Amino acid sequence: MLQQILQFIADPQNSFRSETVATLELSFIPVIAAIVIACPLGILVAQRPLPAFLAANTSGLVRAIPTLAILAAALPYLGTGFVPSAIALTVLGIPPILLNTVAGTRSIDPAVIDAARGMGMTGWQLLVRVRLPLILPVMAAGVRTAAVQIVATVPLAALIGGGGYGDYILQGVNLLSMPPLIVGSAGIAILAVGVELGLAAIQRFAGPRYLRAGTDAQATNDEESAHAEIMAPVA
Amino acid sequence: MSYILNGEYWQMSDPTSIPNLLIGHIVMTVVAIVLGLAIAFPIALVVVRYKRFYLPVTSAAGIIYTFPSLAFMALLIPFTGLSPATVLVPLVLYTQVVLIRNIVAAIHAVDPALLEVGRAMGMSGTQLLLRVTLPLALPVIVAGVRVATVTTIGIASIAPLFGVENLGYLIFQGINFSYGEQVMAGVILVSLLAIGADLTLLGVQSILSRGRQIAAVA
Repeated sequence: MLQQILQFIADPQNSFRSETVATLELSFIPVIAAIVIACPLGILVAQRPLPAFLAANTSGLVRAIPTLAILAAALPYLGTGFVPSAIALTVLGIPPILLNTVAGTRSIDPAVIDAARGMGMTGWQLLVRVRLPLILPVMAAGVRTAAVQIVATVPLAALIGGGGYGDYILQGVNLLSMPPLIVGSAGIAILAVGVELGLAAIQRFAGPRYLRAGTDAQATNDEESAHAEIMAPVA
Repeated sequence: MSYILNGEYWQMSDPTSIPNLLIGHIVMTVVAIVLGLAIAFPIALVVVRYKRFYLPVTSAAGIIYTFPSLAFMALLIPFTGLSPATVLVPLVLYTQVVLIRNIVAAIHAVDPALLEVGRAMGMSGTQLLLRVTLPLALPVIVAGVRVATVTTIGIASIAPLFGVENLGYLIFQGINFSYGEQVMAGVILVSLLAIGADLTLLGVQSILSRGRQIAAVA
């Protein structure tokens, strides 16, 4: 079996290298795009009650929509290929990051902001030196949720021509052939678990050091909220 | 929309008509959640009693949850073939992380004073569990069931790839034949089912909690 798998990987016909690159591109580009869109949007929106309410509720609604549905919905409008897949995956990644950024911004103690203002900080300094460091851990939890969800959905992108390991899985399911099934499934599983563990480690170090060095209760609370955030529907 | 509104696709005699696919989707979701609860309850009760198991159990369930569904089901094909079991096993395992966490949190949230009262009234351990703990814990448990249900509806939609028909069939069939109307019909119906289940269980949750504050984990 192992030999068959190695043979499958080595066979130039299966273009393992380019499928790997496609899988990585489909994973990382949407995650970065979602961060670039959702983080600034979340910070902007959180300052005003009505937009914050709308953003939180729309995000909640979008998160209820199955990931397969979001990917498939791209097909009639955007066609097939890499770009529609990347756009659909980005849409998938925005709600968890947006939700957490809004929640993080709103959870900042107003007294902290007042204190910073009292010290004579400008609006920009307030954002970069007070708000961002405080939001960062919560935001990182959202990024972790989004990233795991995106990676887990990457194989489904093969359905709309996105390529990547999903091609192997579909090929394996259609032909009931084990080598492509195992290579595709194991590849995507390793990537997903790796992203989850890697981002969990990064998340631990996000945020100001004095918060990290705080009491154990603080640490477990962060851990708890991070885990709570991971419960997004993944399909 | 024309696909959904077309009467031709609503005939019960056709196994891939909209009502039959919808029933297939709902049945699969309900079976997965019921089995999930049947497994999560005993585990949660053990974890509540022996606290040191909490972290290992929830971490393991979390790692399983990270495992991509398409990959998980594909890897089960050698063992279970193209059958409902291939889809159900991962669905049930995915529900565990949310259900266990919520059941444990729900039981922990019960005021110990109320348990003392129950004990003072001469209740046995089983009576305490069934008549004090569970009724008080129910809203939080339902919150977990809600998250698990929405997740399950979403993941179940890839079941047609493994020979089990449900609303996902419209999406896959539509993609194969480049029939956008059918794809959108599947997308709309699956999304409506998920959102409908979400709102319904939210309603159940608020009825059960009767104004009490719910501190759900998920």
